[in-house]
Amino acid sequence: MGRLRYPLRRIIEGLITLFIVMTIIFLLFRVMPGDPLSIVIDPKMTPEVKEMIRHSYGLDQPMFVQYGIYLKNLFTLNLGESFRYSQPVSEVLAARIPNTLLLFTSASVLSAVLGIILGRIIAWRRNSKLEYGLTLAGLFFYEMPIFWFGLILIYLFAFRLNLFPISGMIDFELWTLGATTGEKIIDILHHLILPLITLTTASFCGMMLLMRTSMVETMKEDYVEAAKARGLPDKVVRDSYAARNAELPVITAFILSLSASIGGGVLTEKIFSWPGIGYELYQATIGRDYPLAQGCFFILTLMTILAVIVIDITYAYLDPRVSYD
Amino acid sequence: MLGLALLIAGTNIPEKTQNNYLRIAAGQEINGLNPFNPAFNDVYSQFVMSNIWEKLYRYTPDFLDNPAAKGSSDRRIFLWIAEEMPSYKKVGDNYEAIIKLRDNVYWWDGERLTADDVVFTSNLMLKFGIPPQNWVNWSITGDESYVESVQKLDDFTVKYTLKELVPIFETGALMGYIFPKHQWEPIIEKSIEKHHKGTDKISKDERILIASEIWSLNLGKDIKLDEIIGSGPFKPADWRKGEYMRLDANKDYWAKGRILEIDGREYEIGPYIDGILRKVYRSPDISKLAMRRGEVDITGILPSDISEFEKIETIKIEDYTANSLFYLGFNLRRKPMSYLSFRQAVSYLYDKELFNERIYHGRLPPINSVVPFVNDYWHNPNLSKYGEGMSTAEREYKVYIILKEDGFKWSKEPRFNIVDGEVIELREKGEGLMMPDGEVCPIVRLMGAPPEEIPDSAQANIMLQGWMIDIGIPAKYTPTEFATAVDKLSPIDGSEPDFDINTSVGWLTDPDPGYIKDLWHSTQMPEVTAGGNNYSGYNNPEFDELAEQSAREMNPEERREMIFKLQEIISRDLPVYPTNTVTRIQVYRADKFKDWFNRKMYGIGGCNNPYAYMIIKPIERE
Repeated sequence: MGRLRYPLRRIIEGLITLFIVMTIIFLLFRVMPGDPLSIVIDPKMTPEVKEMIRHSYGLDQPMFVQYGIYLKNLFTLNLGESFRYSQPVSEVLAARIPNTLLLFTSASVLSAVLGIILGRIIAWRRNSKLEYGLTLAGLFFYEMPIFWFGLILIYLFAFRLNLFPISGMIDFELWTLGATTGEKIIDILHHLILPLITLTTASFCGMMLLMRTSMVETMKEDYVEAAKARGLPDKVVRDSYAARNAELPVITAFILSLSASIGGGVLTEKIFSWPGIGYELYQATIGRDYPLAQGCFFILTLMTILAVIVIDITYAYLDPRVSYD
Repeated sequence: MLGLALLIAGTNIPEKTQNNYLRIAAGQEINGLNPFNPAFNDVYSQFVMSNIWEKLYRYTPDFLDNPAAKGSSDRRIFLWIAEEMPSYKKVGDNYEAIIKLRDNVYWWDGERLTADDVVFTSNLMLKFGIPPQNWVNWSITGDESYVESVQKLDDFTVKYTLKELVPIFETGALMGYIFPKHQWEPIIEKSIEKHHKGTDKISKDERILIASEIWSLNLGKDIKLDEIIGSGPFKPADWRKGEYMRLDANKDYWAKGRILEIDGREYEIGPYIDGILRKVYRSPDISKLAMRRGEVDITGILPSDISEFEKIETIKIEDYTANSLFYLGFNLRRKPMSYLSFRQAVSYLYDKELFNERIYHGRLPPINSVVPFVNDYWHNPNLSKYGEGMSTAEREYKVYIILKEDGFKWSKEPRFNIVDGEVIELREKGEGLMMPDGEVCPIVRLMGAPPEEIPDSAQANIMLQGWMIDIGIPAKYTPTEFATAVDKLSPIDGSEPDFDINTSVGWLTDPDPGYIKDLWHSTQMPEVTAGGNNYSGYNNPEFDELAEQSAREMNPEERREMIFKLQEIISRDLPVYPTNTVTRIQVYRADKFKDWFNRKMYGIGGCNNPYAYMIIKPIERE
């Protein structure tokens, strides 16, 4: 019973958090200065046409009515219609989310894998030149402006060496004028490489240092010392005894980064013209496209809450020391 | 990872098929293609729409006089779907305008474009209040409408009955898109059936519901791209949102073979290219690289990029000055902006020549009139130039004299170093400025774009603030994000605008100068017409009367005199001080295509140069 009550409680807490966050988001957009329809409504329009526009966007209603409609829509997973595209938000998001997931989730996975492997190695070889070198390199890339790094890669590998496409997710000429499915897949992979390298290079360091710190702590544990004393090979002690337990906080960070990856990244999407959700969210926010921005935030909040719940429940199952109560 | 990357890089990427598509690097995604949706007023959506639907009349390609337009309100009007210029007749209190259509204009599905389509389109506005997107500026619906009715006389003749004869009928209503009745009428009727109850006239609430439903139609989904019916030179064929749009050439274009005379040279209309591929590049740095690598055939660049393109033989550089208008806007409701001498003072201090040279690198040429010089027929070149050619010290001295003569006082007057009558420098700054009424001058806020939005503009604001402070005017640059600025300038709730001096909002103005009335007529103050554009609160009966007269004057010469006078009044009274327009630079592939047409005010291509891509020719074909 206890095992069921805990996840249930976490889900209810998650729903309450979602409700609070979405309410705050609703209010934040409404208190922002600027009329969302200022880019649509022309002062030269007749009052009736202006009224038509306000009505069609639902902005002629009092705020509490708008809030009621908003909550009802959220409850029924109807995210409304984008002001800018006059298209259901769910359609706009459905077109962008897979692109974002492909790039940013791949980058999160790669960063985690690279971070865990390198973190494990440098923790094991503490105070070595390798540790200093990798930490320095990792921090360098971590602190580097991603926009600038992306530009450098594009200039070198796409423009100068002609190894990769300059930007975008697909070759527009190839796709629109005829290509087989296989050719399209290769084309997407070809376009994926540079932004993926940019993102992974910029983000593996966080995972690497977390893994290193966690592993250094774990290596002080008695059971690791005992394993060493038993004469087990270094690789076995490192991978099977120290690393396995050290991975727990890294997995937490990884799951959170996966959930955050759905939000994409404005700068990466801008520089690589990647048709993802991050740049769309940015445009929707500055353009006062309430429904689209709210829809993006809803998905982001939902994914983060889900990730936290998954982490909590997984922890509770994986680590017997974590109580359900 | 590196291995995988190199493996993919080394994989044989399929060869693209040989084609003659023109590839355009675009800065943004198209909002949508529904011509009735007011949200799709962006230039990107309008570019595609302008290639699908066409108009009865346009402006001449080079904005030169058209001999056929002799009796019209604007000599630059050019026949397109219409075969003749409108003929007018006074009948009782009304006027009748007869429009003759060409009989060889066909929709893409083979149907002929007839008077039925023109009447249907006009009635969308008149009867249902559903304005096609590019018609919204030309209020022909509601009480303000100058159009009484429209009817078909025969298959190719339309009669408009007008309450009054106004230039905007020709340069507005007759320059709206025409839609195929056979595609849109069933959609409209279905919506009317759904929302209109009873047999009475459609009520206002019902019209709102009908219009909302029509606006929400998704062209590309509800009406598939290949089902859209237009009459223009390019058809939308493929659209991957966020990535590209492909338009295919209409090989049976009705205007094919017609001769366009541009700048003394004759061009035969095609289209000759296979179509247009519009690719989204979100960063100008990247579209520039794509241009250099040959991925696209045309893009816009900055002046700082010119040198790198000058070295490439196959690429040509062209610039054009846009019909854009930027100005300092004064809030005349507040002191000290309510003093003409103060507005003159700030105008003298704003050194637009220096800003253009040092900050904007020639991108923002100075203007002296609210009709930019590029719109030369309506532009009045004989207006005050407020400080042109003067040094900073000379300007500051002039400001000191203007303010002093009007009764402004200082607790500590500014002092100048003057040698042989020549102002060398400001020696001591002024302090404690008092207005002629004896009150201390309040801090004057310069509302401008924030540095992160437009760094150059922020720099100009900071310099202006410095010069004002030097003279003793307490000034403070207040960075204000665009949407907030619009809200402060033009509140939609009918309240008074909240600003002192605005430096951040500009307009892409129409070739017709009717906008002068819309921007500075006293009825356009936001507190009179909510959301109105006369932010300054300019209220001058002399101006109002003349602006109203000019909006009714059909004789272009007489109207021009009025428009010149209106420019003089603005320049004299300074509710706004015109500062600059914009020069844009485009680069294009001269080795792949020829006969590029750089249209005055609008450049190559874009929604306001519909001629460019219908005459351009691929070089390989020769």
